[in-house]
Amino acid sequence: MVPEIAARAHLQTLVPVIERAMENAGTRWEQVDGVAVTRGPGLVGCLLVGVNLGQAIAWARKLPVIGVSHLAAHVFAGLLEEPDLHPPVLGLVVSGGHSDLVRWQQDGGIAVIGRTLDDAAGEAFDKGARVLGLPFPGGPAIDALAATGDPRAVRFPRPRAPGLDFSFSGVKTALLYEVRKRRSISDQARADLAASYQEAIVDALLQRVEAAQAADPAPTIVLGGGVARNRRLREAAGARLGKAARLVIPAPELCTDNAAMIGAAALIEWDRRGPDPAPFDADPSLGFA
Amino acid sequence: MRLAIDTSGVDQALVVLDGRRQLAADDWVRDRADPPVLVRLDAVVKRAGGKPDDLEGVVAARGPGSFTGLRVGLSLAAGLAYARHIPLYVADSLAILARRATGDPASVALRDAGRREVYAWREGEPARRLPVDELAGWLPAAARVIVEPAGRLASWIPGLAHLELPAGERRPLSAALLDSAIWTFDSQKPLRYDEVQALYVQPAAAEERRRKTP
Ligand SMILES: [Zn+2]
Repeated sequence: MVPEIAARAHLQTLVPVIERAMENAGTRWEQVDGVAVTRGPGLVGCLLVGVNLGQAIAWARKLPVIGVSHLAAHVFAGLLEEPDLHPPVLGLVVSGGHSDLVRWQQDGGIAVIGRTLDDAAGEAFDKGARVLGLPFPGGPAIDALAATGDPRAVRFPRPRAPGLDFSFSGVKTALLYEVRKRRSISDQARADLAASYQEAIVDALLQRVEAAQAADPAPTIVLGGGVARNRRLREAAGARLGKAARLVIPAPELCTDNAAMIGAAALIEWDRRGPDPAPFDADPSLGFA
Repeated sequence: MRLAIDTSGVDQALVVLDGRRQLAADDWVRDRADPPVLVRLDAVVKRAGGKPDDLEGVVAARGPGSFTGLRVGLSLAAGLAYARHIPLYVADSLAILARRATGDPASVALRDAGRREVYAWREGEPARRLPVDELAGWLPAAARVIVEPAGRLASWIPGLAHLELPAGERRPLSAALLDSAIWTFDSQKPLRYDEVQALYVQPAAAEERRRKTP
């Protein structure tokens, strides 16, 4: 993404998008009780546009406003699937930019208990796809090709990060060696490699969730972020995690970045701490809080 | 009641006006420790004796200038305009800067663009971005030049430093913004929301390459 271009597009499209959303919802501003906006993390140019435009609307209409974390919203998106969502929750947020294992605690705060030491899971998919000659974005391409492959064809190493952290550089390198040592790759072999590579990433992710759950069981587990659209991850999570806890995986379109999850985050955060008392700035390096 | 916003440079300002009359204004120098601009906006509207519902139009400086400042000002303006269904305008930052000269507007306005480049504007031409080294050749001979930050011309081209308007001949940014806002509301067309955009002036070298590519 080019930050300058992204920020330019935000300025031009944000109001038309809001207008369309209001129209689709059949809502008039007189019916709106508050405004929620992403405070961070993300590209500063884009955040600036959202934070200032959202707060200007709220000010002009004398509405309360709440700034929320984009990352936390990936966990809170579970509310859109499960209206009775409440902490404690064990959450896995996996995307092109993040691989975080978190605990949404009883007091409402979110603590990160595991993170990636190198690539995010989404990056691992993208890089693997490139090695396999598949198009970008790599996640959906590998997901699709893996459907016709054998996940046990190649046993890729499982990431060996300590504790609850993730590391995907080893499995990526292993895939590169597998591809290099073959003179040519048949379509079936490529599908097998994709399925095996995907299996290694999915297994690594779920293994950490299981370990966290064993150490401190949570009644609910939520998966979120773009990688949570992965069909094998969703299926394996159901099989491996679904017995020990209530497993909540939002619909695929609610796993990738979306505004509905910001709304869900606002509902949850509003109950906990109310609207923000004063205007705030964008925070590109904001965490889950 | 109408509102003008210029957060495109180091000096920033807000003006609330009624017709051609200034009701309240705020001038400040950009600082990282500043409160959000919306805090100042709220205060200046209150000082003008108004409230959000009284707004009838808004204009924001569109650059060239600071990446951050421009996004703040344009987003605030777009949000206000949309929320209150009022017309939204933009004004060129260097034309506003030129109006900081007392008496007639300066014929040349320069703004530091960083990396030894300047945003340069002269009457009747669009803003451009020049390497500091090319500035001497571009400046008209008898120009009245206004520079942001003030006094910078001496460090760019010492021999021509006398062209820069002295501090005593500069007005606060808000005075220039008031004039620009009146002119804009009188003579310009409001924007559609999908037209809201910071003025992005290509570096001189890139512009040159673009011109040479058929
Ligand atoms: Zn995201």
